[in-house]
Amino acid sequence: MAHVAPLRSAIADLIEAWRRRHLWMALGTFDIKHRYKRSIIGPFWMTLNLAALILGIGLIYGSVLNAIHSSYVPYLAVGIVLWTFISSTLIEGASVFIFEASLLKGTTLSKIAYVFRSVWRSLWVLAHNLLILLPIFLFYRVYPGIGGMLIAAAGLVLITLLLAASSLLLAVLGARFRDVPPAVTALIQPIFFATPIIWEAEALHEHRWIMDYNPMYHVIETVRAPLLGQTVPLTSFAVTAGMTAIVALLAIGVYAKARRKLVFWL
Amino acid sequence: MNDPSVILESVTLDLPVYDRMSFSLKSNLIRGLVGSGLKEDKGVTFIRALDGLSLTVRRGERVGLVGHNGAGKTTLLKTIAGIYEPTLGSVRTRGQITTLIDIAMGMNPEATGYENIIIRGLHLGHSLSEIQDRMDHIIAFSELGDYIGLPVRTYSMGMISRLFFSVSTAFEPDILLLDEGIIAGDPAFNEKASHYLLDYTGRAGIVILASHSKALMHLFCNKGIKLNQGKIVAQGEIEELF
Repeated sequence: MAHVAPLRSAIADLIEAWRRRHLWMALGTFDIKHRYKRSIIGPFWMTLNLAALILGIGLIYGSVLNAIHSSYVPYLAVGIVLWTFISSTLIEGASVFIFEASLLKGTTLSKIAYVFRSVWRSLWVLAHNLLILLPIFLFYRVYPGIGGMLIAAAGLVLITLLLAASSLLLAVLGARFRDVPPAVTALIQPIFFATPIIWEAEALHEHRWIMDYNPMYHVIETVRAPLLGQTVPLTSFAVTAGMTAIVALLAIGVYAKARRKLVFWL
Repeated sequence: MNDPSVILESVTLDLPVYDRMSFSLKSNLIRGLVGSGLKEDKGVTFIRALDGLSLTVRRGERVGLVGHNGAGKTTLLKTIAGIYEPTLGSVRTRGQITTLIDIAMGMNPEATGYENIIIRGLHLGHSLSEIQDRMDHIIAFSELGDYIGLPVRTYSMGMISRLFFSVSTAFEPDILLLDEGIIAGDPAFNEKASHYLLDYTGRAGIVILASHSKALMHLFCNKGIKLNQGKIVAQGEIEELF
């Protein structure tokens, strides 16, 4: 064991985590089911919660900003649904290993599997939240078409990969440095306000170019633009894909370095 | 089939203990910026949990680990399992290992006994269909009857022990590593568990049990090893070690 290069062991863990996908899929699904056990509408509380938020912001914020044109609410809804997915995955990701300490100290399964479990849980929540979009799209007559939906789906796959890689990176750092999980939680809020989610990039007028340098804007645009029937944001896809590649390499490198010591940090 | 075996050669394990300072980002950043020859492991204390320990266990052996609290019993089990990698020396094992050290590992108290069998089975690395195949056997062996459909939070400690002991043994691992807490439950079940382990080691397996209890040792083991401060201080007949 000790003679195997750390990077090779890390990649072996990644492959093992993928091979054992039934494990984290079953456990992640279980987590969701149990979070809402004995509740009548169960996980749809999440959907209702988000619907109330969108309605609230849409009506109040929309009229204050005088932005109440027919495309604002669908824009807001897609943005909030995506943001909820991104922010909750990152926040949970940073404490995966701390949260799963007893399992990490009790089994020799690939630790990456527990990161995937957390992402899978978030995907379940996303699936429930996406349902909000249906009535909103029907009411405001937004039709992305088959092509738009396929591109949005591709964007979603890309975002999920980016979040999985980020979660792994944050999980390792979070296990070693206990300031990381609260720091992630604290940083999420300003990113939300700096990204066009409740406000539109057009509101920046001649300063709109600033958004080209906000990576979170590009991440959200890969799914939002095609769903709203706008042109395919090639730049956004390129930026998101590039970030995914960089974060994935970084994550596997950091994990490889930490792999043996991880269990002692918990 | 190859015979299962556990071979440890002069295994030393230093467990790092991180104090609160070394866990904060600030102290590491400052250290990185200041540099000034401060060592990486500053603020980290190492405990020598295992100290040049050599051990060979072969098929059919049921080894009892005895020793005071902190003698290294649980650490040794975790090292054999591969959870801890030794600082020095080598650990070589042949055969599939199942570890039963932390009874609450991955347990969901809100989920039923039935669901917890699935959860634990998955954590042990088995597929859903493998677990389903053995479900009836596990439920029967655990003697939980209708309780299997109730949330585990309603169980007594003894019932929880029975449940997870039944899951861990149902997949017939080649090497079973147990901590005492798991089978401290009730005497009648211990009798049954010990019959099972006898039968099981008779077929091919290895059992290593960490315990304080002489009675449990007599029931479960045919060989004893006494640890003190991470070293083997005596081995042989159980009787001689107490």
